[in-house]
Amino acid sequence: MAYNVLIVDDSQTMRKVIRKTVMLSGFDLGECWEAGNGQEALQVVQTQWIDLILADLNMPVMNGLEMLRELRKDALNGHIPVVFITTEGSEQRLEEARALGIQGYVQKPFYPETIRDVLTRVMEVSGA
Amino acid sequence: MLEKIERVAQGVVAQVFGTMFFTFLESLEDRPREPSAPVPYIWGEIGFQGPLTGRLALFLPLQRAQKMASQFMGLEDEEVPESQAIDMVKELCNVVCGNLSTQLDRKAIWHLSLPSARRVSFQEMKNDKEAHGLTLRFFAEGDPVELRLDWTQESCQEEPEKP
Repeated sequence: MAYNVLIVDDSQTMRKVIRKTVMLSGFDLGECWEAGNGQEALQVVQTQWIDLILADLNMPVMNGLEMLRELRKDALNGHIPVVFITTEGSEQRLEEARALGIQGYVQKPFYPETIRDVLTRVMEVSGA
Repeated sequence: MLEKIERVAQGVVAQVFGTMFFTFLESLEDRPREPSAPVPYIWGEIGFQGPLTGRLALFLPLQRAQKMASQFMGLEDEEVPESQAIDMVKELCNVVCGNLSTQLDRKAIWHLSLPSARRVSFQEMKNDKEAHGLTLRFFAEGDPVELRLDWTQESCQEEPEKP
């Protein structure tokens, strides 16, 4: 089964790299969507079928945690698994993200295998 | 504290360059700083706030940044536009600063600003004569790379030295 993925990062370069990494990792990728911040991501979620969101934390307009808070309020899409791919690794920040229900976390810089392992585990656990 | 920051910063820069660009860094301490010909540089910077508050800046030749962006995106030797190189340097500042702050104090909450980057001349880079808390210089595949770190507060808890 192929999964539709939404990549949220303000860096266009990083979005391309994540997209390529996911494709090369062996993860079963269906359609891939991109957004430059949390607000754009929420708009994409309203109009497209998304199975998984890969998001940065530190972004302009709406950051990753704000996006996650808004997403969880959405009765229709609030269940979509979210994985943060970010430079931030502080325990408190991760605790905050876990409390909001993130399914996974990858710290930049990353290896493709790390992305593949996290995505595979997340999709197995979510039963998608 | 300076010694600890220097040690962590050296490790983080080496790790980030190795993982993102498969590039191994050499120390520039024993080599001349002046490039043989004036070339444009990219100046990237990001602010951080937490147990330490300050600014991290990175300088590297535009051409090196373009090669690194190409390597990062897996484009072999394809040349990427300057805008893409600038975007990559912003991300590089973000990754270096994020890892540096976390490794300095994992329990603290750090706030990073949005990174910025722009093209500057070598002269402009040299003219930044402010005293910097820490300056690290490297060679990345023959090109000079400089990291400057400034901070104004020192409330970071130093870990006791292991016996």
